[in-house]
Amino acid sequence: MKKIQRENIEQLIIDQLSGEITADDCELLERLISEDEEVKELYEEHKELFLGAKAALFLKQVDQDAAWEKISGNITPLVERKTTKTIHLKKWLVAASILLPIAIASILILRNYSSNEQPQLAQKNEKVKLLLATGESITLDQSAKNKTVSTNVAVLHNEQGALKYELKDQKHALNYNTLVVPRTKDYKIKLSDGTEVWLNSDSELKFPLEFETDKRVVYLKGEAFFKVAKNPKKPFIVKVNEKLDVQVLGTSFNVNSYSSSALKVALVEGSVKLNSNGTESLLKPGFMATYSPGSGFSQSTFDEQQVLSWMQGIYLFNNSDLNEINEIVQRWYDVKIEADPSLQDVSISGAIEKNKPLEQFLQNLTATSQLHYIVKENNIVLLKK
Amino acid sequence: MDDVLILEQLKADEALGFKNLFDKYYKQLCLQAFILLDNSEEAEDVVQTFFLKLWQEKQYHQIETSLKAYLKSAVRNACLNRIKQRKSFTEGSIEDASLLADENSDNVLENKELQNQIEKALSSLPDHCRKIFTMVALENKKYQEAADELGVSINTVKTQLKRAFSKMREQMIRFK
Repeated sequence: MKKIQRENIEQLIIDQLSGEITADDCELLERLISEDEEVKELYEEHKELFLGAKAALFLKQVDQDAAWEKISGNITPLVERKTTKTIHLKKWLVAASILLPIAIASILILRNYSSNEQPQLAQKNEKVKLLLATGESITLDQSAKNKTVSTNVAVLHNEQGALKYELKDQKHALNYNTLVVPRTKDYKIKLSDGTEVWLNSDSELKFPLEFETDKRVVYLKGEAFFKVAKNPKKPFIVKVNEKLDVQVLGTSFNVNSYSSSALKVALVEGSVKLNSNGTESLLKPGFMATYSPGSGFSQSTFDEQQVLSWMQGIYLFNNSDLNEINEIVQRWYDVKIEADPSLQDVSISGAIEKNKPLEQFLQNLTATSQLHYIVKENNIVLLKK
Repeated sequence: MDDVLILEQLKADEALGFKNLFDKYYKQLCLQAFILLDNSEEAEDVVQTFFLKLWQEKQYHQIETSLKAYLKSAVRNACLNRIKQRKSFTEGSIEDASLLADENSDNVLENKELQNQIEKALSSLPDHCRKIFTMVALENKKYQEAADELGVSINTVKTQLKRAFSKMREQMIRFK
């Protein structure tokens, strides 16, 4: 093929692939393809490239998440619409706003009768800490003036109760660091892959500054909500108490491992695979798996608002016993609640708001349930009839 | 995720199975539809409608062959029906639309390595050049339409298009 001829043929091929070829040219091209092996090859090569590029351009603009929203939006029973749940909470808040003045009024009345002063509950002030693989320990004080801390391995940005970081030294990138959130505190961290983790009080997360190439593994103690950045090539694995692996590709879920006899994983969206010594359990959105060492996995539905309320600093409880309330109070206020044995069967519904003083909750409790409380020491409260 | 597992979940009418199916096959089926219909919006529309019907009418209970084979042939049929519904439908349009969808197209599209190289070649194009190529290849714009839209001459469109092909071919040869 001469150069000039070849250029002309290329133009014909491009015109053909672009749908711009005239009938005469099309005939000519077809004849050339059938007669000349070299032209045929040239045509195939262009076509393969055109098709491949077309496919790549197309796939790039396909928005799979948007498509899923559209499809699942048309199938109501498949994924419960989130709006109904928010309305639920709103209703609850409305009810609370009506009930609260009544509660406050009754507290005021009750207070007038109990004039004896009680000892004050102490405010503990342990700080959130980051223990780096290098041995450095960084205090992430939320009131500190300096929001950016430079360590040997990374630059840490600590703002509004959340941590972001940039790697400085590749050497320690894959080593594990520990974020320790003590009682009374909570904290949020954004990992290198974009995954966000909200940690509840009395919880720990072990994570590397950068993940390995084939998977993303973190270790959790306590409770956390994960919003995992999507990456189908790199599964995200949460290891809990060395017994349980939670494996996901990109999704939102809550892991509660406060009680080692009942590990709970609640899935908000996406899909999750749980693995314990080879036993697997698949979870669908709206369901919560409970794992206990003796009996394995069980699944049930869960109330998103109730399970995730801790992230808003609210703990909603429904017919809970005092043990459960004691656990929450210890975690959030570092105060122990001792209950008179006669109160074993008492069940309580209501809410604890973390950013309000514990006294407020105790007063609401006593005002509505005929219980009394006494501050025994600065970190122990006794509940009586 | 494994097809056998997905199918099992589906046959138990589990919503998770449907989600897993969608996650695994949505893009793949869209691409297949796109190659047949040569129209990106229609392609997604056909596949979304197919997924909806599959779930709502519980069509997955009829799947007896392999999952993948079932999906591919179902989407293919849906595409052919769509072509027949087109206003300008003439006997030739199926052939026209599937100009690219011959037996070779599967080879190109399922060869991951080749697809990766093509993607890289695409990204090596200068922005302007890629823009024109995209308008013609993906959006099916006529030379004149692309020229008008960009405020350039039809010759510029042709030259840039040629450049896109030769640059990408250069890149591909380097990969080989």
